[in-house]
Amino acid sequence: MALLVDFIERYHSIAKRRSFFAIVFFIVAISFVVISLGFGTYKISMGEAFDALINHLTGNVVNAKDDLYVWDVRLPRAIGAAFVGAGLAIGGVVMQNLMQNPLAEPYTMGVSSGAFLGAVLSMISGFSIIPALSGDYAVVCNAFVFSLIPVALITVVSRFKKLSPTAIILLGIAVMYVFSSITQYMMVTAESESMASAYHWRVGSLSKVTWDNLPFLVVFVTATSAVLCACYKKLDIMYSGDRCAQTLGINTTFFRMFCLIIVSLMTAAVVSFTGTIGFIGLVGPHIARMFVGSKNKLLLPGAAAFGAAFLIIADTVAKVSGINGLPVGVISSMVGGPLFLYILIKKNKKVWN
Amino acid sequence: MRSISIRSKESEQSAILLGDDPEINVDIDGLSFSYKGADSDKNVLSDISLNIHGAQLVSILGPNGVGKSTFIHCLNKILDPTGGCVRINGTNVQDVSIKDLAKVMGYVPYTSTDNFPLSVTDTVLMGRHPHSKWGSLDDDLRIVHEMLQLIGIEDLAERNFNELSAGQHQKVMLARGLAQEPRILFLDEPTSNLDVRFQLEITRMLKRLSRQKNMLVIMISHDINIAAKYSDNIIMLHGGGIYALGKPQDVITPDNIRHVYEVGADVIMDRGRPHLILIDDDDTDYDDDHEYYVVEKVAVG
Amino acid sequence: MSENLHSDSLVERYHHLTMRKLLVLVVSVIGVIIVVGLFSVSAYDNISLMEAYRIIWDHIMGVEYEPRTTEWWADRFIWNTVMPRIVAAIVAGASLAAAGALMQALMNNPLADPYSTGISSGACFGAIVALVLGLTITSTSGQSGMIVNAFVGAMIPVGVVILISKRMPLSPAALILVGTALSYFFSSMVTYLLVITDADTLQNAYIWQVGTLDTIVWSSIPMMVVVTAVGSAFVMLLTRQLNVLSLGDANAKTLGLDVEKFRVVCLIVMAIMTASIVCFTGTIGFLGLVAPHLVRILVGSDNKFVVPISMAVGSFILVLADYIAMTISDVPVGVVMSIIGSPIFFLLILWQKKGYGTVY
Repeated sequence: MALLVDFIERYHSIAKRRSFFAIVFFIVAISFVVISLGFGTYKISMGEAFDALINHLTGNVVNAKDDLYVWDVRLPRAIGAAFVGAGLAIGGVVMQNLMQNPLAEPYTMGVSSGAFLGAVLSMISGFSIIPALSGDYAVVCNAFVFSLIPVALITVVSRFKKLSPTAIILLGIAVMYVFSSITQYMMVTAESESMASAYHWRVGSLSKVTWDNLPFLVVFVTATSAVLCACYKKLDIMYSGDRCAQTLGINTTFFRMFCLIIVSLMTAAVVSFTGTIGFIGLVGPHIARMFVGSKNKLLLPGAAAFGAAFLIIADTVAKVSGINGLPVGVISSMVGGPLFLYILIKKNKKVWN
Repeated sequence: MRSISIRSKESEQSAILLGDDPEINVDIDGLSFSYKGADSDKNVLSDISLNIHGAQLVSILGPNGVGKSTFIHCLNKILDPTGGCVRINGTNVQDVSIKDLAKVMGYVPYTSTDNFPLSVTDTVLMGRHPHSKWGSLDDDLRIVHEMLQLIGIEDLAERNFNELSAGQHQKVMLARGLAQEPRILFLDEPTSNLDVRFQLEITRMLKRLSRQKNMLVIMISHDINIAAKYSDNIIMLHGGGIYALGKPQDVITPDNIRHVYEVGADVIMDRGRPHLILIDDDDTDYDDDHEYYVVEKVAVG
Repeated sequence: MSENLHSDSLVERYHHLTMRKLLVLVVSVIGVIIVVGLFSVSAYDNISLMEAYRIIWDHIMGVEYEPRTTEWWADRFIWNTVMPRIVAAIVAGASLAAAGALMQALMNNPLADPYSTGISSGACFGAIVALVLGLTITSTSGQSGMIVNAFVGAMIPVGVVILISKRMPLSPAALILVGTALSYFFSSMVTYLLVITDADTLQNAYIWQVGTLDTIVWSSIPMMVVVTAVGSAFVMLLTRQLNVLSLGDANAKTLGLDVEKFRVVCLIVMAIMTASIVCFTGTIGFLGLVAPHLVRILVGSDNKFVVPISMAVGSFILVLADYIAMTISDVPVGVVMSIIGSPIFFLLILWQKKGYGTVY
């Protein structure tokens, strides 16, 4: 009996120790949201920025210019970065799990290439999926709708043919290629100016996040993340392969498609506002896994917190580097590439074989 | 009463899938299976009819590729049979949701090539998923602990699954299957990676549990002697159908072995159970120079 | 008796397969010849297909025409406008297809292609540094500076991959992952350079990225031809080892193949072959991926046949794609390749057999 009590206690204490890291990541993420308010092209000290924030919240704005930059420009952007980072990291965890492939990420299904095609169609040929819309709204709308086409296609195919995770990945890649070939054609034949603006759109940036569109982003990411987090137990079981999961009462085909659709919805919302921000979805889960382990109960929130913290830092660097500086998508790939390489070499045995 | 028989055609009807019913009656009626698209429409299994009654240990024997695993997968709904049906106490398995089925049926796979990075405790805990409710974690942990002790792997509890050896994997998967507390447990070569001691211990334990927990245990085996030693009944598959079934001494006969496995064999009786001794028909004598072939220990220093 | 029958039918089937292989080879060679004719006709309007062939033949035979006759003009046009890109397409097609077959066998991965170790993004980086920043490794500027830059850039990721695999043995899957990481890194630098540049340079760089044969001139051809000839001869010599490798690393080792060393040597050869093409044409996608697959579907997986037939098929596809690119719409051949290639790829995946199972 003493053995049993000991066993249960040890189990809980390991879980607690691991959750410590997740909590640390969360605290870091939240404090970075505040700290990042002090950085950008507009020169303002961290203390002043913090004052401006407090002043706005308490309702007595002292310096209108400070208030404009801190409250209207930087805060939504920082919050946006947090949610985008968290969403992409959660998407990455779920995709790597469902596809049983450490290289899977939220874009594996072709979401980003779909979004880009949609954006290019709108920016270069003026096509809008909702005719009433034009300009930026049409771009976002197009991107959102087109980014859902790949997952829709895969859902349709999966009704006729049982798809293995590998087949799903391959189909995603194939759709991605089809889309990007059309995009390539349009880009090459376009005027160089509109081609350039399309290219700039694709490179991820958070500068488009404002109070107007932030609620949409926050609601989407929160809702979809909540659904995915609620599935943590089933996601654990999916580690053991389809057959085992089935004998443990999970309809794997349905569950996989369900999660794919949720992840795609979330990624579509993110991508259509920010363009393609790479690497958080791929590397974030791996780094989180090193700290909190692979149990999804901790991994999902841990990865979310890490993704949020990472993207806020990357975006702060992007802001400081100025108008013609590094876009956040470039920064995250530049840091992420070598980081990924390092993890790969360090954990060669454990993660991959 | 523990029995196994070629199924008679008329079947009795009953309502629910096991539940508190102490009886277990698995009725397999005209089961056929073929893989779609692959080599024409050749049936892997054709028209298997069978009745298994009572909590017991049943072994499935047969040569490689005869469809033993396919047969089991048809029973627990991993594969959908292309013909016929499986009834448990009168309920068609196809009518039961995967989730409800998982409360009743457990499965221990042959390989665990899926190397997942969870701890052994968490892996075994997965077996509790079909039964899990909110806040039942400590109860589930209690059962997990019991199973780890039963298999003798408490010392592995905090190790990661992907750090373990093949034999340890097998034990963990077995513990998981048991933690599911199924009424029917399928095992695909559960002892293939274990040393002799655990081959005996695990198989004996499976038989004991079939009595203690009123559980029907169906296992695929390539070790005819282990199967013969512990099984209540044996099903021998050949050519997509049942070649023989019944008590070990009725199934494990030189003629059956020669026909199904195409090897010669003597069968001796050992403590009331048949024991197989294989005979190599090729009588080439390689033992001409015993002095020449040497493996010996060399003293160091 | 029954055994005899069995072996008879086996021999028959083997011959049947040999016929198929020959057929595929002959069809692609004839295909190339036809497209060459069509190409030449398009270069100079006033000649028929037959005349075009005769003029090409005469040129090769060293026949000189009377200046300013129709034939003289046609000869000049064909030789100076379309012939370089035809030859480049044939050579590049063969080279990329051979490199693709090599990579797929080497990595034991149906999704590997010549660019899997990051060659394309490295080359892009080199070329775009020249194009955007005007920095070249050699002091020469313009086209030749860009070519040298692209070549050197292409070799960097492979160099890193090889350096890493020297320090620690990497599985094929890990090699591809390292390649992926490197190519992401270089792509992000490319992206950065393209974001800060002006619209026209961006478009030029983009077209280079997609891959085009417009810019090929006669002076580029010798290097492409020599490297391709030497490289593919080398690959042909190694087909038996590649077959052994398809059994997996452990098995290949027990069959006496020094897997790690073999892989490094092959990677170097493949990298030089690919880089020598890419630096002139930009990154033409799909060919290295799709051509070997098509061939495998048609003639089976024996690398002894897959490699040479892939080269023929690759040449045919690229020449045809370039012809379409030039005549039907004036887009880079890379775009035509991906528009044709991606649906084929899509179908390949839908029709895949069990053997295609493991990707990474």
